[in-house]
Amino acid sequence: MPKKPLELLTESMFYVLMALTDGPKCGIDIGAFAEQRSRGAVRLGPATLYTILGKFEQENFIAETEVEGRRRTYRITQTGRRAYENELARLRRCLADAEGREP
Amino acid sequence: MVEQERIEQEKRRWIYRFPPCPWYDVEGVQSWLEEMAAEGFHLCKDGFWFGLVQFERGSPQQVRYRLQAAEKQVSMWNDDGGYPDDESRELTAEMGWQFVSSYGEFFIYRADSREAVELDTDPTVQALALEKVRGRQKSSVVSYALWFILYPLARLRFRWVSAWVSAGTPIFLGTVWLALSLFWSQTRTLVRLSRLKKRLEAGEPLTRRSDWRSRATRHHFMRVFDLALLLLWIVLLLRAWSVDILQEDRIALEEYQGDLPFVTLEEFLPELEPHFWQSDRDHTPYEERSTYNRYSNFLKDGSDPIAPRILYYTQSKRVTADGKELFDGYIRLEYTQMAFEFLAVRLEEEIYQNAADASYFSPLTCPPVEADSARMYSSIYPTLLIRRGRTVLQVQLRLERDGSPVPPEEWVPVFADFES
Repeated sequence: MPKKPLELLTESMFYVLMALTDGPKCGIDIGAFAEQRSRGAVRLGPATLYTILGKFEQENFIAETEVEGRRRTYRITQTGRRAYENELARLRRCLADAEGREP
Repeated sequence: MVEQERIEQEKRRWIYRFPPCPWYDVEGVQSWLEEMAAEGFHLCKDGFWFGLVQFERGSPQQVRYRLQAAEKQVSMWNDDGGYPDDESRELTAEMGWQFVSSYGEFFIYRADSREAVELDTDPTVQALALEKVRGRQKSSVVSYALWFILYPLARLRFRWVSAWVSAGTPIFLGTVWLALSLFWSQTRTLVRLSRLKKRLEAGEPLTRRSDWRSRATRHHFMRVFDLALLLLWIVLLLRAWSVDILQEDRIALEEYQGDLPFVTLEEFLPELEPHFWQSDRDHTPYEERSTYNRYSNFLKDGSDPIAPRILYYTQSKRVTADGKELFDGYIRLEYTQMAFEFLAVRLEEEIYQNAADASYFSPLTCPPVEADSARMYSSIYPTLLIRRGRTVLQVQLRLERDGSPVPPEEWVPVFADFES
């Protein structure tokens, strides 16, 4: 059965990609980045983080760079960066529409 | 005395409960475990075992229990021993959640601190994780349908009436019930998982639910009911097996007192002339051998809701006089009176098909007889299969008189005249 591709990034997924555009990180650091960058508005639960990392790796959005004990570090791939930028552009359009200006 | 007290204390330390909800009832399981913890009973490490749950007594505590859909099938035979992988355990532990046990296809985590961020913060992502469990459940439904429904039917070549008659209604229906019940439980699980996934995809988080108690009674009742039926089925199976092994249902022909609705070998015995008896009586002139043994000269007289009368009759007889063989015959006869005519039609067809599967089968021409259906074939011996109304009679016969076989034209009309 073919795997179902991601159609839309959720807020949590978007923050995971955002964290990795900042540089390679492990799961804990990704969670900390999202919380800090959103000023506490986005808190990623461990099961959510784990599922997103698994799905992104499957979709080739991210790749594992290092394994240190139980901790795995990931970097964003070209595909992941494209998905992030597409989502960013979509959000910008939405924001511009809401504010009644050209994007 | 001190040792005894210690043992008593140890006994009181653990309590065991049956889970009140199935594993796919995520909210029910979470709510139950949290309520148990609030009463001072804390789920033990690997506490779900063989349908029982082990708790340790402690102080009442407000803790959170959450179920996480397992990425791979949970099995102690897996390389990971049925535990979450290292990365998952590392992440959850660092964020305040401890893995406690697995239940079905979910891992159970506990957070003692209120500060710990929720295990799942995005229902859409949680739905993605659940999809893996749902996918495995789909495969499970397909394999149950194959192994418990299609495969047994294919093995029987879809000849279910003859299987029903030979197994008897209680065992047959018990087996059908077991197969359907196993298949249904898998299907129901898939339906529940699909509903859960839809709720998550709609953005609805899984919250604490208070109605698990009302469902628990039904869940426990169904478990007890299923177990009782399973035990009953096993007992029936063992009983049938022991009757067959010990041959308890066999009655020697000379002991049978009932009326037979068909003719037997006696009908074909030669009539001996009086002078024959008189002249040779003194020096073992006449010998008739027809003793009950493991293979012949007994009958089984049974009844079943689907077939009110089932008679299995087997007889062998040999008559020699003064060294000369006068008569040698063997008969195996199955008389089945079905509850309904359509079942008899089906049974007759299935008996014929079963015989036709054998390599030594060959069709024979049946002499004309009065019946709804009559066929003849050779299956080791010449066999007559005849149906009148809702009664099916199968006669397998080897008959020699004065050293020559008795032709079917002679014996078929005699056997065809049975009570239906």
